[in-house]
Amino acid sequence: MRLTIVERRVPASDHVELLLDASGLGRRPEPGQFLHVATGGTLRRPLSFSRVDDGRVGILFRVVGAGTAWLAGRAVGEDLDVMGPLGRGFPPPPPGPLALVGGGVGIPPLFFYAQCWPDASLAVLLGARDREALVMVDDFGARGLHPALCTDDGSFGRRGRVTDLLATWLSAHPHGSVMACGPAPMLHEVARLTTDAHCPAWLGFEQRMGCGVGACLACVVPGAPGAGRTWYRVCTDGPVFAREMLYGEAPP
Amino acid sequence: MIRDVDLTAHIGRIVLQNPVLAASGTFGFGPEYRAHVDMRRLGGIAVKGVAVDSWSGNPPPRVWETPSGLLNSIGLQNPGVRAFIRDDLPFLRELGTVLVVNVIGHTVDEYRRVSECLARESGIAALEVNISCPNIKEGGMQFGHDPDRAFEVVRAVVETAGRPVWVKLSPNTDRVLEVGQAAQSAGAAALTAINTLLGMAIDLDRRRPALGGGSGGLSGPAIRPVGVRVVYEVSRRIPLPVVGMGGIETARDALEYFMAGASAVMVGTATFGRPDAMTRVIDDLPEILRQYGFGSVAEAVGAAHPPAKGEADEH
Repeated sequence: MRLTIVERRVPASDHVELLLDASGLGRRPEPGQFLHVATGGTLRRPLSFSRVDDGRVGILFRVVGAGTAWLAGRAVGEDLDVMGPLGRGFPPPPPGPLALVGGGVGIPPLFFYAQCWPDASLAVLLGARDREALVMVDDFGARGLHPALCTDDGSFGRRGRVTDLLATWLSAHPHGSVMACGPAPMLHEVARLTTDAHCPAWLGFEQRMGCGVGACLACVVPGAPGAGRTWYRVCTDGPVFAREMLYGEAPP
Repeated sequence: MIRDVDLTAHIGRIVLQNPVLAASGTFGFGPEYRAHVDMRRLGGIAVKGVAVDSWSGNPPPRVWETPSGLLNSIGLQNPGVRAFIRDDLPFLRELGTVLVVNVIGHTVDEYRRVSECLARESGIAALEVNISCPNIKEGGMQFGHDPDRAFEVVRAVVETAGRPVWVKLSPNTDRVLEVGQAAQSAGAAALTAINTLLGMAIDLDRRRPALGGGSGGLSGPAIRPVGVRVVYEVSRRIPLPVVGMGGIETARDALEYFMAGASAVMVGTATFGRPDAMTRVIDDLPEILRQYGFGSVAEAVGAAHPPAKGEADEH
């Protein structure tokens, strides 16, 4: 299907958010689901939704290679060739306090989550490499959510990792739950911390993807040892996984 | 739409409603694409390679985009033939599309056992013996580079299959003709060509090969001239029907393969970018065939071959 670009934003250097007319989209996306976007090359790029409002859907991405550079060069009025919404998103908020933990380009689907569940009691913990990569902070602020922030280089918020913020939050909220999205090492640490704290967690993964529909078996992540599945497909089994599926019951 | 161009394709005694099949490895085990592709319109479907037991495949990343192409190192992950028969075959049978099951193994005996299991099942038109996957350490391509071993493995499948056996050739050898001839001697009904070309990309950030498996198989438009060359040579020298593939994205690309000697074609990597790639090729074929002076697919097959001796005067 083709969706028209109605607005193009540059939230930070090397980051672009495209807002697309959602009227061609078959169904309303869930936070954590993605669009599989044609980018002029052989493969599409999976990009998770950053927001839905006023009949528009957003995709926010960092320019990292030829595909995202092509996409960043699109202008308002042009159409994108997309498939989706695809994949399994984040579940509704469980009872009790909930932390959204985002790293870098893992932040956008968590903003969409906050948009979808305006009445949830949410803590928002965000981290990135540097100030530039810490996107959507103002969007959370405009919804009355004031994220705890950190950067690897200390250029904004605390110096350190977002998982340091999570460790503090978990010790104060022993009955909390976590929705996390970010790079694999961050999610690995989120899994360890939440397992130790006996708190449920859902993790949104990124992986190099082929078909997007479960056919090519390219975008796999390893399943928990002994849990029956060697691999899960990020495109159709994920991108969001309950922690137990990938890490089992023992701390990784 | 032009209706007077005959798209029927014949691969031995198998009749296809049109000459466009989904290539093995790119179309899953059947149901995955059902929401995105009108599968009943396809000439046929070759499902992903099936082994006697489940294989876990290679570590990710498993795909990497390259100029006009794609490197993959999936490593033939599959659930095993019994799970395939239980979970996927009923859907495929119901679909009624010509079904080709790709067969893989580490040893001749493993290929034979897959063939034996499938022999009891209805709804399968042909087996495609995969002796050309570059992404596994044992089996696969090592059979496809040695005519004697190719003969052995094809013979074992032919003896047990109870249906036509196609053999998928590797382009990563200078012995492709000898391997094709060995497959013919062993009783193959058709040859399919080509599998992917062995390649590698380096991830500059990680200072490592980009793919988890190290090297991978190159597919996509980048390899089309290699596929066309192999199909041309094989179809001229070996009296078996050839199913051509490698970088086909449009009806014009398919026609190139027909003229080179392919009786039908498979489309693979193009489906990732455009799930409707195969149906677009099918829709566009009548016009392209007519534009270049053909009234049917069959007329175009081998049209680029030089005339045989004795025919030369007639042209």
